[in-house]
Amino acid sequence: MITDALRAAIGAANVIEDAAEREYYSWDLSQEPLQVAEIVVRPGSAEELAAVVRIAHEQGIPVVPRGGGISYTQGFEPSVAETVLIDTTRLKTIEINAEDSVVIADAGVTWEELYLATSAEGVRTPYFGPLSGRFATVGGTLSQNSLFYGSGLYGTSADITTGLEVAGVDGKVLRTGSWAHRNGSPFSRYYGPDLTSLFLGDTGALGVKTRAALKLIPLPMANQAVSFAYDTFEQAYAALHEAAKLEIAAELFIFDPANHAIYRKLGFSFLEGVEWSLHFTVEGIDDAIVDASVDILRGIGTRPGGGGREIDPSLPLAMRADPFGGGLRGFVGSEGHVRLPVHGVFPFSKVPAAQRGVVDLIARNQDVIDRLDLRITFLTAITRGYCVFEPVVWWPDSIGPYRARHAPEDAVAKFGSVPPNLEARAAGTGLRREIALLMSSLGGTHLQVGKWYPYRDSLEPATYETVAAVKHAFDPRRLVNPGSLGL
Amino acid sequence: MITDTLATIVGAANVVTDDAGRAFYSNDLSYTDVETAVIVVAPGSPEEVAEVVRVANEAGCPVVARGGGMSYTRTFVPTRPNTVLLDMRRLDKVVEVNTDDMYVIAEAGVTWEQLYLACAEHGVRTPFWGTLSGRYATVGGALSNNALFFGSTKYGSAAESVLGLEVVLAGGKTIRTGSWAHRSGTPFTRYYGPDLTGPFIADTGSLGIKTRVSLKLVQLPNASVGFAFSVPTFDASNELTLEIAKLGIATEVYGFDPLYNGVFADLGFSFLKGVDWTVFGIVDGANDAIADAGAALVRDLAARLGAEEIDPSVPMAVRADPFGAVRSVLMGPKGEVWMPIHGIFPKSKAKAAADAAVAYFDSKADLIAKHDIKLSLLTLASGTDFIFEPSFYWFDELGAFRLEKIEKEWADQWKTIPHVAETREVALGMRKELAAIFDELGAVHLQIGKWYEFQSQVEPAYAETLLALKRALDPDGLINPGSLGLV
Repeated sequence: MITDALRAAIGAANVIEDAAEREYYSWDLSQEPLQVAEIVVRPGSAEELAAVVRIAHEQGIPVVPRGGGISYTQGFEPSVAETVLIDTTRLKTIEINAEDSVVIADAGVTWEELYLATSAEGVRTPYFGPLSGRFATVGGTLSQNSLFYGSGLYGTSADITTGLEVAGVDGKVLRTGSWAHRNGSPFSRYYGPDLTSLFLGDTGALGVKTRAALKLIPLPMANQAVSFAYDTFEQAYAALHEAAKLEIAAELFIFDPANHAIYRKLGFSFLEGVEWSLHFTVEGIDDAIVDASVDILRGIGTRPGGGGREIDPSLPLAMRADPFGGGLRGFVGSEGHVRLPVHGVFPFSKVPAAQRGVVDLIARNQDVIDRLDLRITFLTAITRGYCVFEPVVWWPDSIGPYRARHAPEDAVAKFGSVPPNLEARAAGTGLRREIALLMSSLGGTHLQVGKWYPYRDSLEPATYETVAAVKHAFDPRRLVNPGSLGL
Repeated sequence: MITDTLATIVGAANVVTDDAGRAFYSNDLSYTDVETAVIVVAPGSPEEVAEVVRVANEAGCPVVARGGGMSYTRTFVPTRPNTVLLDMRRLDKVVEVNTDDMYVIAEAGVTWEQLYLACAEHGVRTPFWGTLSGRYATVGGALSNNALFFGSTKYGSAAESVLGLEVVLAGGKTIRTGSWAHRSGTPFTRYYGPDLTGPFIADTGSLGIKTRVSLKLVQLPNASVGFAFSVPTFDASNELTLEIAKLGIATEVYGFDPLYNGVFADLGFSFLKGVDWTVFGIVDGANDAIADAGAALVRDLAARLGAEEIDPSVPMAVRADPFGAVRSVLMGPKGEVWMPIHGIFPKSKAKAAADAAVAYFDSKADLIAKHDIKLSLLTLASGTDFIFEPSFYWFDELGAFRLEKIEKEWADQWKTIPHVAETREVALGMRKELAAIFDELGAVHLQIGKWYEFQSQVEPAYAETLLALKRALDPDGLINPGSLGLV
């Protein structure tokens, strides 16, 4: 049977059949569980992972890859129960090649692990991780795409990838870019048609990533931050838009009044009385360049008539000091709310309309929001050349198996046994979906499409047919993460 | 007859059927044998391209797109009878320069010079902003083959500036990629689900015909500072070039050899008289302080590596007239044919590649002297990668294409240079042998076309995957057959 074959391939201890464990591995943070995988496997190497894929394929059983589990969009939730779910987090090898400015990381390496390993050698990936980088893995992130640290200068995780190693359905291992050269190494993404691209943002639908090659840059020697306060979102956004076009800040984001209330409780008392705040992190190879860039941003942030005043920059500085620690707080609110982000990726010009649209949508639902104690906060962040507008919907609910295992101990002690609040969940998930559809109607696209965002319906049919044709060419029996991307 | 139908689609004035005309368009600059196209059509819009492809493919005729014609690797030369060649240069509209959302949409036949001028009017440019041949090289041709020079050290190759493509597939279906494929979308990001843009970049036209492209925009720099250094050896030049590139602040860094420095000395840059090896480049910045600080860091580094600073007027002159050097990208100073070959290497292989080329030329010294073949060794950093472009120069029949592109006084003087069969054979043979040496070292290439070995250089899993993609997009093999070795 398949279980025996899997045990033989990767060791019995790494084939999980226990029901509670399978549930933990199968459900993400969306509060919208799909199926529980029949078997969860934990291969220990790229070779073992390829063997798992081959065995499952021989038996005609679908495989779904899972990274750190930080999915809000059913990215790795199995769409059918008869699934072999592949936990990739035991794949931990990191090979740093500072000479050639490239690092090869196994799919299961977290962004925090990668950052620590590379910075110890004086280098870093240009984009260096999402806020959830303590858990989020390289493989999961490249499948779903993500942004935050370094994104203002260097873009998303997709932009820093120079090559991939992918286990195809037949167990054949494909390497892309210059890595595919018989005498090559993965330093360049471009060698003939760029096949790396197809697997970036594929939500794991085209193959299972085993290793990735990412660019390296010297660790910046100078870092500063600068922050501003505004009365309205429009004022803050106007400054953000102008600054973003210059591509001189590594991180650029806006926090909203509700977020400030949370951060005030954490000790950021200077946020008292601040409505909207705008933050920039600037990094560079020496102080002169960073100082000059900060001066430019200061000019933009406090432009006469722009409504901005400079405030203490300790919020972005604190984030940089502990880049992956803050993500922990995101699991459960201090009053036991689950927090679920929903985002649209927009060209700069469309963000104000998206923000107004969401505000209007919230106003129309204010009764339900008040009655069921829902909350909404806003994060607006830049990646090189465009903007992600991300409302976060909160509601009181049971925290589910993932949060119960990974949230801070005090939160779990307090809220771990709260029963499901199905009414609030229905309202919260419903509002989240309405926001997603609104964003899509405004031309917003999405990272982390998973099985949740309206990808298929939003695409021109000719392009979707092409995506489907590629899927069919690579996975004719639909055995890799079926249901992803609507495929 | 299909030619009549095609003439109806594009207009009789935009069809070439005479022998000389068809031969002119079917040949590139590589002095290799071609199958002459049965007809050359110049469609005037993306819709006409789609219609031409539909009609041609329905009749079983292969189609091949030709941009500015500046190919040395048989990218657009027909390989099958009854090929319909599409001259794309009438698709010459810069459709939209969007400075709010920082993208530009251009038709495939727009040249890099035209694009640069159109964008500069609005205070912006594309990150990669053209080849030295940008007076003739088109956006569509460069993205199909990939290209390097202006902006490449900071922003990489042409491929890395792309946000989305509009492509006509076999049979005439049109698709758009990235956020452009969103029903309500604009082309501001490449990443929305699997990145379909990638496979069409550097495909050397084998997967579809690009009709429109969206490229990223950045602000024009407010300050640009040139730098120039003299170094004693080729190795020192390469070391300095790649170390400067690693700083991540220079927009272009490139190296000249004794031959090139001699040519520039004769052009009036008299300080280059007797100078062997040089490294040139530019640091751009949002203001003087940033550009000056960056240039100071470059000078510090050069001083540490023992380089001598010289007059920076060469890189400044190249910037002042970026696309003016047409003659020098087509031929040598005395009317010799210029024939480049390149390899792209990670930094760790730069020395081995340089040594191998020099050793190869030493081994052929007698033959080179006998046929009066000259050699140059040009280098460039693309990102942190080593771009090595040795070139051959010899006296040969220049042909209609080269003569048409250069000033009349030179054309008149050089049009009588005869074809010496043995010399051409020796030079072309050396070009092939050097390519094989580079491939042994794991070199990758732009502009693979039908000249560089590709299928034999990539791992079987990659070749099989690419073939599966080709079959999915072009089942009958009617799009530029033979390109990349795909038939």
